[in-house]
Amino acid sequence: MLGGMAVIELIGVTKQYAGAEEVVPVLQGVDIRIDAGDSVAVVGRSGSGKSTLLQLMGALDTPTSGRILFADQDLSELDDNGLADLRNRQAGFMFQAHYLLPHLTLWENVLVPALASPVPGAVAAAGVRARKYLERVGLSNRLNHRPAQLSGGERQRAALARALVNGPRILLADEPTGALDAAAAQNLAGLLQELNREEGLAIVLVTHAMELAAKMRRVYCLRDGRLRDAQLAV
Amino acid sequence: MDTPRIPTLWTYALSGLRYYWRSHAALLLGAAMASAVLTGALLVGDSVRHSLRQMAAQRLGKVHYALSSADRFFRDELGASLRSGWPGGVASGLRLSGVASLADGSARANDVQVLGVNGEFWRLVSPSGESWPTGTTDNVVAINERLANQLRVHAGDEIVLRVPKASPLSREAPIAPQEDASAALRVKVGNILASNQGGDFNLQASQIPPFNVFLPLATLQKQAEAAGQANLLLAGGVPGDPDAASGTNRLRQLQSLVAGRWTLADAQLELRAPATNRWAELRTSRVFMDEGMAQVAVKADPQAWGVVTYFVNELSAGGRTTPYSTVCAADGPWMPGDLKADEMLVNQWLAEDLQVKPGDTLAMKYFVVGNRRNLEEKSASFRVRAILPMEMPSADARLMPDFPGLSKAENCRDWDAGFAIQLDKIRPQDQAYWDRYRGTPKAFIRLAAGQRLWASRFGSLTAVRYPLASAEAVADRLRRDLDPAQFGLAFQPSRALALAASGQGQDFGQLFLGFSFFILAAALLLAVMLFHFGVEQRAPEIGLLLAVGFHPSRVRRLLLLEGAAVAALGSALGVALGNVYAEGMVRALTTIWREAVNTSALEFHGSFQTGAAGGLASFLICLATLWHAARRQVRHPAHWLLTAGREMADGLASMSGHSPAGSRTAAWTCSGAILIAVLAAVEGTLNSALAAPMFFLAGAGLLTAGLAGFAWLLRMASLRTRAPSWRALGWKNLARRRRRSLSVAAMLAMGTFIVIAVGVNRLDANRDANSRQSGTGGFALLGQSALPLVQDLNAAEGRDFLGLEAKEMADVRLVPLRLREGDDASCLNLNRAQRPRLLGVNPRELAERQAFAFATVPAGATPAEAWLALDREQPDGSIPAIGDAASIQWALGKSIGDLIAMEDENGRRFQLKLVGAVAHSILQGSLVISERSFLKLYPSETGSRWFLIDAPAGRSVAAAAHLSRVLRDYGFEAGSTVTRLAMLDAVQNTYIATFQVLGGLGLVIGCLGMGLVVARNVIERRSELALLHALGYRARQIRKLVMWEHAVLFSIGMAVGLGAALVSVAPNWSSGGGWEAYRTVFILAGVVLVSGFLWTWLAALLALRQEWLEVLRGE
Repeated sequence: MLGGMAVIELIGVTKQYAGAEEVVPVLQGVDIRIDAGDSVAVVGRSGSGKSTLLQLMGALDTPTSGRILFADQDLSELDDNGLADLRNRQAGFMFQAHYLLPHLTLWENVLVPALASPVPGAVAAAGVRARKYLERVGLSNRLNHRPAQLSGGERQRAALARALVNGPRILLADEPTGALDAAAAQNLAGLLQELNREEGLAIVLVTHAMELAAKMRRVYCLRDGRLRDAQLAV
Repeated sequence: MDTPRIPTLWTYALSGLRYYWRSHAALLLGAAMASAVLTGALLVGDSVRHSLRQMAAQRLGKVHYALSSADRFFRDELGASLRSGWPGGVASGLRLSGVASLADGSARANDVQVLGVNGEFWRLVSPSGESWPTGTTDNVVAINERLANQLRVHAGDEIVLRVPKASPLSREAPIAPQEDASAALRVKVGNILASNQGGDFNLQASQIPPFNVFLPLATLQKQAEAAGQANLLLAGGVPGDPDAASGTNRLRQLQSLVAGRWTLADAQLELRAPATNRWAELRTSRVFMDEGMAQVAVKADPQAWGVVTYFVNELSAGGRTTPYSTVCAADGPWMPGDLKADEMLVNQWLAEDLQVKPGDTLAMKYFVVGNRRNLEEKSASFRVRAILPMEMPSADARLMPDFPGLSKAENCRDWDAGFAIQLDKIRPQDQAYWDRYRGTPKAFIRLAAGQRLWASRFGSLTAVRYPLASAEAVADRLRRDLDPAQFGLAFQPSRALALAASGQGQDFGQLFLGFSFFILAAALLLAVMLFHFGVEQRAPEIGLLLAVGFHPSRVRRLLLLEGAAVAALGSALGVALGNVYAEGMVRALTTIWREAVNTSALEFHGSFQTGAAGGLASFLICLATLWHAARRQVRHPAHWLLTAGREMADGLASMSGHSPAGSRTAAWTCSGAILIAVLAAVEGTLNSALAAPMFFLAGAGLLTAGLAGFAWLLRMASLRTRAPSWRALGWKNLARRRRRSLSVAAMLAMGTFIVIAVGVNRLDANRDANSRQSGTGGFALLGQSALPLVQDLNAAEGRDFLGLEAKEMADVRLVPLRLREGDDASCLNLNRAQRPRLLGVNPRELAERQAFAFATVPAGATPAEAWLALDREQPDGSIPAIGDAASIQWALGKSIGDLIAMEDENGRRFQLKLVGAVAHSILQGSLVISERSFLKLYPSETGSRWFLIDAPAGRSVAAAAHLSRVLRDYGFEAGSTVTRLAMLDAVQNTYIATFQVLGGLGLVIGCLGMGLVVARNVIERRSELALLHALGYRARQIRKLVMWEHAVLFSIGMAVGLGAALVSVAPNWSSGGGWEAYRTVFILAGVVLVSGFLWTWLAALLALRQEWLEVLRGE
């Protein structure tokens, strides 16, 4: 742990789903703290609750019990709009699928998060960042292309640029290389490392890919709803 | 790097519009269809209103105000007198009810409006101002097209007209002659006038033109024996005034003009002031002076004294009798101040004839006229107080009023006193007296005593006398104190009333919105379904927007922005299509649905405002439904939308809903609904009065049971594990999208149920037609006459007088009703009745028969004595009235307890209070009040013109024919009450048929939605179907599987709806509605069934044309 200010802290978080006849526990008393500049990988079997954990961290879902603090702000105290604003300004998301909007160009896609901001001039400021990150991910020459005209790796890099366009404090990535070939996955992993190292961006990613997980400073394994140190869990 | 422009939300929305154009095109189509139907319906309303307004304008021409005094006549010169003070022009006319027929009797029209008019009339009524008829000879008339069609005549043909003679004295009054009440004239048709030539002139608000005959005023005056008389004044609007200015101020100005220019002759009064006499005398050609008029007349001078002189049958004393004499009741100067009520003065001639002296008793016999002119001979005894010499002022022949059948008779044998004079009683000395003294009264009694004996509804004075010197002052006083409205000289704002009637009439816009409900619903359903599917496809996109921090409301707005743009375009397109739809509906209303409007004169009229309102309304409705769809989609959590999209969200929801408790609820609902259905059906069978609502309830119960049963089956299918089979697989698939499957079946079932079950409201005039509690009141015939009948048609005397044969009339009983003309307040009239037609009846006649079923029984009355409430005095002084429930609700726009402002014949305002309503009856169109109230309000209305007739079974046709033939000169026509009721029912039944046809069309369009569901289901399951393909299934087998599932869905929806609907309309089957009534329904059901299967098949075929390998690769 690096110390300093916590970006996200989960305290005794549990999550259950109500099935037809029984309650299915997914997370049971998870405690974790992510600081600025931290990089964490969460591994585990399919259905172990990795994505659920990430969604809870990113204020996309709410826990059954426990507390989630995002920059010392208790998420349970925020309403839907408050949570949306928090996601918009503080967190960047990457998913296994790129979710680029097929009817928008690459440039427009990257700026979609900025359009959600009610702050005047936010989109223009985001434009500067968009340009920077598109250059960084090597797509500055494809701005007017539509998603259908990009390769899988390019789409995922575009998705990374979109996740960063509002200058988040943390990047939450769910199997970001899951749909990529080895070279593209390697490329993306390198980019994530650079961003963490050079910009102090906290990163939490869940993955099956141990090579990618190994590039993170901390690696956890999620099993039986509990988060364990990966080395202990093996 | 060349940086593109910074995007905005508009960029986002526009690119979405472009990219998803296919689903937007479908949304556009749905919105256009909804807008077309909505706008079209409103335009139908506009068209009907416009047509009615145009008809109102055509039937009145430039007339803004009208004065129609019916049986009261005034000088035709009054029109000319008013004209000089009224810039809009004033015309006088004579308007009488008559009968027109061909000379050979092969065609006739009763209730013809015979109008004696002049050039001024045409200047006001005809747009061209040209006078009709164009011929100058007396026997040339102009008629309107409706009459020409009825009589099948052309210009140059001859017709026979029968018109009543204009008797100032009501033929119901005492001493009124009964013979020669009408005159016939043979005339040539000079011109046949179209409505735009003023041919359909009418003061009543109706889209059905009257039968009109126009002839020169002088000709009609001559024929009706009303020289110089008129009963109609028409006034034009003041130039520059808009239509709406027919308001109170102008009317007041016109009425003031009348007040300034009327003369006593216009009140049918005459002030005689012969220099040779000591007394001036005010008398009336109506013989009896109206009560109100008499009060003013008596107060006109302090020395005035009233007179009532009566024609008595005999005076007798000591075995001697003097027949047929006049007796005067007056407090004249020759009357001793202390003359008692039972004392009499006799003149010298009578004293000698009867050989009586003071102190002797003298008996007097006289007739009083009861209801229906039943003469009742009464007698009174007086003690002779004194004998008046023939030289006294009392020997004044002018004390006898101008009895029409007496005053001009030269010979006693020529007397027509309204009853049979026994000529053998008249002696030579009687003739000698008549020759010398004419009607000089032979005896005198106190005025109060005379009024007690002879006062009637027509009045209690025949004259008022004043000192000769006061004559001029009295004339001035009378003109000052009498209100012209008292004697019928009151203008009505005819144009304002006509426009109000056309504007407030049946709102066809609303009606067609109702009729088009299913098309509108289907179009909206399609639009929403397509939008919804489109939004569902974009679930991950929505999830992403939510994930990156878009507020849910903003995402909704974004989606709505796209949808709104398409809906706006669709709505605009729909406005254009709405014009086409409306034109089609108006055309249908004047052809196949003509029975609903009774006119073919409706024409399409589209206005920009209505189009814009329709377009805007449909846009807002689309927007609301799109907002609802967007809201549903956006409420899902972002991560669900992202990971599995809407499909997963629903799938999980469905899984969580498959609980045993849900299955039990479905099963209980099904059982409970079946129980309700059975109980309702049993109650409906046992109680015929409740058959319609009970069977509707039974149908609704079966509908609920069917759908609950289907829900249970779907739940069972999802829970049970069966041996794999096509059927099992199909049920599993239906159960997977349980809500969608149930929604589709429910919509289809409910649509089918409502469209067909609404047929239970079809009215059947034949049902229990002989029952007193039916719409016919149990009467076999309804008779209507153009000219009033004053005789008692149930009494032998009355029948003899009219020539009705005892044999033909055996066991035929008539309930006569008095008629006050007014607006037809039935569903046959598209206008809102402003002054409804009134019928006056003796309530006991209907109460004794327990006639008609009451929808609302008057408060405080039992159903058995409901009619008697008409004679019950209201605390607020209003007049109780009973009407047909449909008339009250639809034609008058009123409810029970409401008041309707009316005016009596003296221009006094009164309120009718709706105290009760009869259900579904032949009384539709009029309000019924008691005869007692009727005569109080309209004492001049003579006789009866409406007859409810009981006739023995099997002889009603013969009785109708006999009555119509014998009373043809009265324009009498008797017809079956069932036919009359069926004619009224045809309106509602046509509305129902219209609803069913348009509803069926809506269902057919709804079937297209079924096809979309099929296509959607296939697209959602394409990976699964691709897998089947990979496993070796043939394309035909996959198609069969898909078709089977949806055919089950469709068939269940149709079967449940159709079955429930047929149960609900069971009462109609049992009453003999039969195939004819349901042909449309079965055709519709067939069309819906075929179109449903067709769309399903087509959608499955198109959706299954996939490159399965590509699908698998995509997965």
